[in-house]
Amino acid sequence: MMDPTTHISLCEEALSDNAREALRQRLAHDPVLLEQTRLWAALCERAFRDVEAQLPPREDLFSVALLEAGLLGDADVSVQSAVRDLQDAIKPVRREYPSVDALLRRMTADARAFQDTWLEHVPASNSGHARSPKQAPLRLLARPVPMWSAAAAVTLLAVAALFLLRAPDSMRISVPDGTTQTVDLADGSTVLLAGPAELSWQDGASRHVSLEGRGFFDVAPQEDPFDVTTDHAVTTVTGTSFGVETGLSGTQVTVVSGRVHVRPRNSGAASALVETTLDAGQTARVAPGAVNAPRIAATGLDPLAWTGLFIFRDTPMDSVAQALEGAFNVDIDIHESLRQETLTGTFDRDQEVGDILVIVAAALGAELETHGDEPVYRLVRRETARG
Amino acid sequence: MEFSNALVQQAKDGDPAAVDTILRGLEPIMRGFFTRRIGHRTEVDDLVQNSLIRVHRSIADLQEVSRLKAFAMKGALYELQDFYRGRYSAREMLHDILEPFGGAVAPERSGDRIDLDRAMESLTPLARRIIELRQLGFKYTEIADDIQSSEAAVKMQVKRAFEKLRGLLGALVLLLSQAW
Repeated sequence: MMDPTTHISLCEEALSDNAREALRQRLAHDPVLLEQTRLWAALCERAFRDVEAQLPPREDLFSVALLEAGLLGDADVSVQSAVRDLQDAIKPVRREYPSVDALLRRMTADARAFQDTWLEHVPASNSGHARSPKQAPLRLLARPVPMWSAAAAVTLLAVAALFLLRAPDSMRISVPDGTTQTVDLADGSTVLLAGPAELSWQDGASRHVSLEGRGFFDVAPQEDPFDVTTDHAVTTVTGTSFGVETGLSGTQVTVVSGRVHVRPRNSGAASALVETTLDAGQTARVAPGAVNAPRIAATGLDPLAWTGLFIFRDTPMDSVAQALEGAFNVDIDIHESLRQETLTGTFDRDQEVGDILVIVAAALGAELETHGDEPVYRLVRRETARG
Repeated sequence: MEFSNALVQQAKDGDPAAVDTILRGLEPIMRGFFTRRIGHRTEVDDLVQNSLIRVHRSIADLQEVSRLKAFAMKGALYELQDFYRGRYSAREMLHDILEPFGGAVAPERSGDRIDLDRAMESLTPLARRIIELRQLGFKYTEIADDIQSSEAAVKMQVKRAFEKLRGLLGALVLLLSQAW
């Protein structure tokens, strides 16, 4: 986006070398533009300085990031307690400055990514997750009360001493950006991952998975519940299909068939957490730090469009038609005798709507009628069509 | 790759071969980590190199040889945070452009300070949050995700903030504008 008056490219991710040189030339001959540019740069600098003044020391941020990444599992209770105190002390800053909260969440994801990468390359026995009896206890370093929270007289500690990590015998599937991968789990469930995404679970416990990114789950029915854990929520089912999308802004769960239960994750408010039950067609969203999972209304966009698929599981034909009409901007009439039918199937969104409807018709024992060049399709029962 | 305590101890004691073995073992881990976090970009090479230099320079200070992972992770995450803060920020982007004209930050003249104070006050909380996130190295798409909005809406907020700022520059600039 180029400002029409100043020609300062405000909204590019980065200026090219040519753009920089062009701007420099223009500034040399345009004092008004120079003044505006300097003030804009100064404003950005001031905003940064204001936030920087609120930031805890970097090592403290890392300590909390490790805690929130679940990488302190084997640490001494006293260490975990000290970091939780630190976490509590930072809370007011995170509330007042959402950008600090976002920064910490990004750092948490970084720590998790490093841990996962390490486990890919280093044998579990050499991953440093268990301390030998000879190792010295963790060091707790008393520091001055941090300026960013005068009330927080917490015990701080060296981040280098904190990496007593979770058990590494986990399975992990990582899918790069722009690609998809289907994962077959040992219990018969399948997961479609849309990159960038990571799915992990402990060996032998494939009905309890963790997800970062986006995944669509077709869960094999069993008595043992299947749960998907993200940074913000735990989604529990017994046998159903649903999509989970998680990012910096929270976790969104959309149900295609069956029923799921979504419970926020918020260790600081465990007693206040409210579980939400979702049925087919419903979506809920859990914001970071939230204690509930409110249902959200459809906004016209298919909340599962990121799968690259149309996914129908015992879906009423009216809903099937509605989804296809919205995606392809066509009219689809379903004969009355077919409206009680349901459809189970998966279609690529790249397919032509006519091709999809031919398959749908075949599955229903129906016929597809079209009306000349008009984007109108009609599904009728075979006997109706012949009649 | 295995990093035995004996190997790490040798590196800590200054054995060049042991240091080399550790750095070679860490290289693919660092590369995998940075690629995972920022994609296949030329910056990955620099980040890997800088992180390994950090390890190389400070491995003698490693307190416990069993904690090489902690040591390496800390170096990599610090390097990544520095990278985030440098990328995309108007500070970085405009710094070298404004260098010949006295730098990015306005001189401490009283008039400039008043302009800047007024400009800061004119920002909506949302615009300020966006600018803060931008300065902390978040992409527009990441900011949109964070505030549950669209990338276009985020960019529009930035543009509006800039337009407000231009409106605050006062009569002097207006006159200058007309004169030029």
